[in-house]
Amino acid sequence: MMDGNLAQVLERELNKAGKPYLTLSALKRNTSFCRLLSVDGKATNTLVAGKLRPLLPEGLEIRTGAGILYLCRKIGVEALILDKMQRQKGGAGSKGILRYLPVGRSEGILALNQLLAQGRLLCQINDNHECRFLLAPDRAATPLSQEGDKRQFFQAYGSLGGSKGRGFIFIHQIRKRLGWPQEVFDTTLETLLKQDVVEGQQGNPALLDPQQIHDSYRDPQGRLLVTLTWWGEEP
Amino acid sequence: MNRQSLLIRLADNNPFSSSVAGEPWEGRYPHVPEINDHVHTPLLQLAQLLTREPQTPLAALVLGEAGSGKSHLLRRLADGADLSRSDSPATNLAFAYVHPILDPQRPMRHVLREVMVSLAHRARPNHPLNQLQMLLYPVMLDGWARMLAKKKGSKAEGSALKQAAGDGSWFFQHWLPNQKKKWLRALTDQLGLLLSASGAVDPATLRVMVHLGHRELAPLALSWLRGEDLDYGHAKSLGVVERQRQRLEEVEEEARVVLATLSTLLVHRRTPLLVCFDRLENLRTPAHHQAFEVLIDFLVGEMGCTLPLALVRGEQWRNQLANQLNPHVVQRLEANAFELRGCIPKTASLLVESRLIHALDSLWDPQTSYCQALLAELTPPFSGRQFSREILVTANKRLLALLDQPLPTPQNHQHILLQEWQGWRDRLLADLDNHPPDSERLAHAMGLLIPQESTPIALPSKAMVMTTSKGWLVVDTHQHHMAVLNNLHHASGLLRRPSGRVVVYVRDGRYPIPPPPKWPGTNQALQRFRELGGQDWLLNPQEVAAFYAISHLHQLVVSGDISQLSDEGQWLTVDEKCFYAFLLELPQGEEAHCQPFKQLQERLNSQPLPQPPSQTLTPAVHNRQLANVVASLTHVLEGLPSHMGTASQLIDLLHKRGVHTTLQLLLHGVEKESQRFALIPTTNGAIIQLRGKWRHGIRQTTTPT
Repeated sequence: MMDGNLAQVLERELNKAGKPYLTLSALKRNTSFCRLLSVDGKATNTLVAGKLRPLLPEGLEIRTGAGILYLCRKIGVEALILDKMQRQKGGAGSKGILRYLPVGRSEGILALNQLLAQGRLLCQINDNHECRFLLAPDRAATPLSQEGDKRQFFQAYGSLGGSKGRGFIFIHQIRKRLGWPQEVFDTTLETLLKQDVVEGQQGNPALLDPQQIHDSYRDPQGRLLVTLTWWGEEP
Repeated sequence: MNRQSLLIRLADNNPFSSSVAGEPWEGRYPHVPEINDHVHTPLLQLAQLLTREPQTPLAALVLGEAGSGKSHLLRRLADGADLSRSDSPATNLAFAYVHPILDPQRPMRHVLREVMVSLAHRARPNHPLNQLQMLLYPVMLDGWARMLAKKKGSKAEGSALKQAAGDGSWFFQHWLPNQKKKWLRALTDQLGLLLSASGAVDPATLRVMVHLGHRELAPLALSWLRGEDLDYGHAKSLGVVERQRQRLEEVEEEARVVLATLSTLLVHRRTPLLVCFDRLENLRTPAHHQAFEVLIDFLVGEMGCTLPLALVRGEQWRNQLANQLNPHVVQRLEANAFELRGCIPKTASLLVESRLIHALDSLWDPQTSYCQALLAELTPPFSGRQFSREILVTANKRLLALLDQPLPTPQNHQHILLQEWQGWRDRLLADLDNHPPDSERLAHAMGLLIPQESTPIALPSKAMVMTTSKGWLVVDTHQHHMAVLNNLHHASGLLRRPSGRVVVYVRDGRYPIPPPPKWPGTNQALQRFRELGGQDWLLNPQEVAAFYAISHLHQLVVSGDISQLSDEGQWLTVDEKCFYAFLLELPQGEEAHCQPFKQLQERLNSQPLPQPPSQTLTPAVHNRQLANVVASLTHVLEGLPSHMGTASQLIDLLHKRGVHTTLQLLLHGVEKESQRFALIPTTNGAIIQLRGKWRHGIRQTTTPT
């Protein structure tokens, strides 16, 4: 049985980190977490992982990357890489991308190759004959299937704490998490709104900064939608 | 009959001019059951669960955007709660509406007051009995039947019981008021016996409840049940002793006791009580969060047959309140969380049609082509979903265009706020009985109008003391002569301070100080206060409504409920900055509605009387007084739990021992005797504690300063 308080603590810590994963060492610094798990800050990460694993709420998992234990959202290796690429401006080499990610070496390389094949990553060679990977500027050339888009959209929505009928998730956060080109994101959201799969809310834009407002969504009637709730069937 | 005649009627009675639902009792338009039924139905099911399992710990949360229908949902729940048809599970429900907490120091008192004010509303419009009477009525009949069976009552009384069983209003309005005290006592005893099988029963609360049918005593009984103090004579006529409060904790404990008895009544009747906490956005300080947590814990854990329901904007909940409140309270509320949804085109059409039917009555015939055409014109097609307010605003714009009337121009926020404030003031004036005197609300309104230097201090009685840059406001709505006397003493004490500031003693005019020869001591204190240059201000109903409306308006602004649809289709929310700009303008106006605010400023700007020479203390007299205060304070603290108390509480206790002191003198003494007293500043005022080595007589070995 999942501890509700623990779920909230984990969710809060992940949101605070601003990324979909967090090392267990960092997590141990949270006193509420240690209290709920009945461990102290000096407990080994393996012990903490052992105690935490059976209590993990849905949507979270424990992963290992380069010998480091992480608490991680279940969003798939590709999404983890894309998320890091979003935050890492200017691109990086394959080792740089996979460093400090909760991803094993072989699965990371496999995911990188898949992203390259899908056209969602570009590879550039610099003057030193080194390969640098960049996010593809326009994904429209290699569109995913509509069902795939819907699934990814829901995954991103879920990773931010939303579920069916329980939302008010910021659109700018979903946009950031997905990392899609603006046109693709807007078209997908427009379709989901038309199909009544999601419902947008105008919210209070005064709480957002200009960039966050820009990254929200303006519907064809010109209304600025700030948050949304998923009401359709889960893909 | 044609389209033109419809439009002529609509020009006189535009059903789209208002898109904002006020308080749950104020609705005039019919409900559209299809709107947000996915929330309404489960809420009723939760309530019905309580009729089977009254002790089930339940709470619910409704999240929705501004204009998504939160207030309409509450109105639908309030209208659906009809205790006159308690045999139907769908309507066997009592409804209470709780305004946002103003004073976090007294959450229980606040919720008791709001619940009792709600229960004093009619069971349904035009019904002779209110909700509380409807709850009590069957139990009282049972009690009466038991009395008859026990004493083998007269045939006449037996037939009266039969008549009462068929007509509740006859029982409350004709039978109960004509009964002698002995009979009422016997009925109270039987009620106690009946209810005690279902939980805790406070005899005093029951004694007061049986007076709810009395013509003269019913208002007093309601006042007592709301947690107010009654004067000696009034308390005696209800058969209860006066409430003698020394500390805020006692006020809270009394409220708990009354609520617990109400809970027993609910459990006995198997009637769920829905307690709706609206506009949670107003919980903005840690103290307010804590107060709300205490209430949810109490209502869920200790009150049987009660379903607390919180309503808040979804974004505000997810990003702020859910992180600020205690996780277990969040978990309790989120266990039954619902989100409101916008309307699909078909529901939008039903909403517009329901308003048209209400305005046109028999003129509306949905089969005719001109009615169908009008409905289609007022409800433009849209994709996805739209909230009710958006649909009604669009319909209003379209109707005005059809009537060749000017479209509503984008109004400035000041104008919107003025309209809203006037609306609230007029509604309050028309229904003052359901908005009893409330020192917290008055103090809140005045605190918004006059910048304060510190947080208002709540005295153990209901008076609120506010310190502004220009002087002090003592806001009092107390009904007990001793409490009023204490508050006037406190006000006079403030005047004696060498600060040269004015003191205004404000009182809701509905609870006046009776003229001499009644309340001789209190009238003398009032006279003394006036002689010292203090101003007393008895608010008339217009002034009361004007100030209360400011407080309600502020809570609406904080919850983001006041907004306007721009030409681009965007909702523009009126923020607090605009609200404060509006308040600055209010006293400047020459119109009649500005007079109360003008008067508040004028009173605070007036020059205080110079201190009479006798008030100026020589250093020797001052030191003597100080030593007296220090010695008495030591005695008082020794008798208190943990040897500590708040400054205002200690001033009152010293006053009872015959030592009259001001806050300044008290704090001066504490600072001077810092080895004896510890001064602990808190958000609720300073706490003073007697240090360890000065307790239990050790002080006798040392000479006080």
